[in-house]
Amino acid sequence: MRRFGELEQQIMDTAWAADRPLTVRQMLQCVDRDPPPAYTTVMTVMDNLHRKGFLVRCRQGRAWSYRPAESRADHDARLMAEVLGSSADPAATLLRFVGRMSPEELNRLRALMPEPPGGGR
Amino acid sequence: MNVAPLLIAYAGLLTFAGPVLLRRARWTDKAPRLALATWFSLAGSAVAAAVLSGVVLVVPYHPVGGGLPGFLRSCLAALDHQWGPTGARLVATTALLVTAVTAARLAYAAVVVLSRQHRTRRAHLDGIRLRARPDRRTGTLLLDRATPAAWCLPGDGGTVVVTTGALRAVDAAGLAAVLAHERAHLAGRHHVLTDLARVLRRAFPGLPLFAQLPAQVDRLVELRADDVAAGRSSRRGVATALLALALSGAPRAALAASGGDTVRRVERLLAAPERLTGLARGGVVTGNAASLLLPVMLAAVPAFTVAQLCCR
Repeated sequence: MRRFGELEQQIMDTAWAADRPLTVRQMLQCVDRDPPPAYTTVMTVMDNLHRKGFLVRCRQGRAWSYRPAESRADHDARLMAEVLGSSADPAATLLRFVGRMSPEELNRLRALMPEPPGGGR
Repeated sequence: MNVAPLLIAYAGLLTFAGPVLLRRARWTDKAPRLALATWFSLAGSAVAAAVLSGVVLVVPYHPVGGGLPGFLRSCLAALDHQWGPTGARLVATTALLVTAVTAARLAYAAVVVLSRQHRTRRAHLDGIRLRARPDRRTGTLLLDRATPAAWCLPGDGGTVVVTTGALRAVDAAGLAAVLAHERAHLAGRHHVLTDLARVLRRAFPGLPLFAQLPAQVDRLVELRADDVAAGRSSRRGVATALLALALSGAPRAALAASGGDTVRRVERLLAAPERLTGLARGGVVTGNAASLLLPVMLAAVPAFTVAQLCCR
């Protein structure tokens, strides 16, 4: 199973909120968990995130310091672009409930709507 | 007479006429699963015929003895006899090329496409997991985005991702329909089918049957998932959920060029369900089996020779 899912999220959130690259030790001080995670755990998770390309690192003295590879907004925008299909073959990797539609198709869909949806517009 | 030209003609017929006939057929939307089986039967028969055509060119018809060396000698002798010494070499080379190139292209495309798909999905899911929270109630990953969307990814038993925008767009019944649709994709291993279609397109580019396969498979797995979801809730329920998700929220980045099938899906769900009769169904199944068996049977004589060789 995914052992570090929540911790991964916390570490990325901390990295996104920080205004400078953080070392493992600095990250350990920022992550608010009870019980506090072990140094080696945080190091492992940060190394994993670096390996997956979410964190980039540079030498700071004798330790590595890490910062996000892209901003949180860019990260979210990229994920949604992968879903909504800006690539040439969007259905190739994931199967979506509703695909892309042209304005003309949207108009035809509106005509099919049996009754106006409750609330909203 | 050698059956190699027959096999090549058969492969050509399937590749060029097959997609025209199948796209014109009326029954495919009534039985999407059967239609998927038919598309892949056509593709499988065409590939098998091409591979076997090379084999039958070099393998002689009459039974031979003397183990592998004897077998090869008799192959060459038969070729010599039929085509003359120079012709024999040419025929043997052509035959081996046809078989080897077809098989190698397929294997190479499979490696390239499948590993790329795996990597892309892995990276996407890793990115999602940094931002989504697991929703125990629905067993999905919930992503806090206003754009209504729901999608699924295979691996680790499959993952369904839903945005908060999608939750706002549908009611409880609508959400159940959406989830049933996505789980039908996962349970039906639809990603395997869409991947396989792309492997075949990459292996044999430019040939109509293989060029059209991905779009057709994408369309048919959606129809199949709609049908499964409709069985869990109702056809009207799935149609309503589709409309709600399609029409709500911010206008999508609408690219006029990309033809979707959402309108067709909604119309199909709102109309009375259409079933194929048992007879029609049996006819299609028989046709699929026959199309797959034909190249094997055409090649059966040389295959029989090889079998005899192995038994001695």
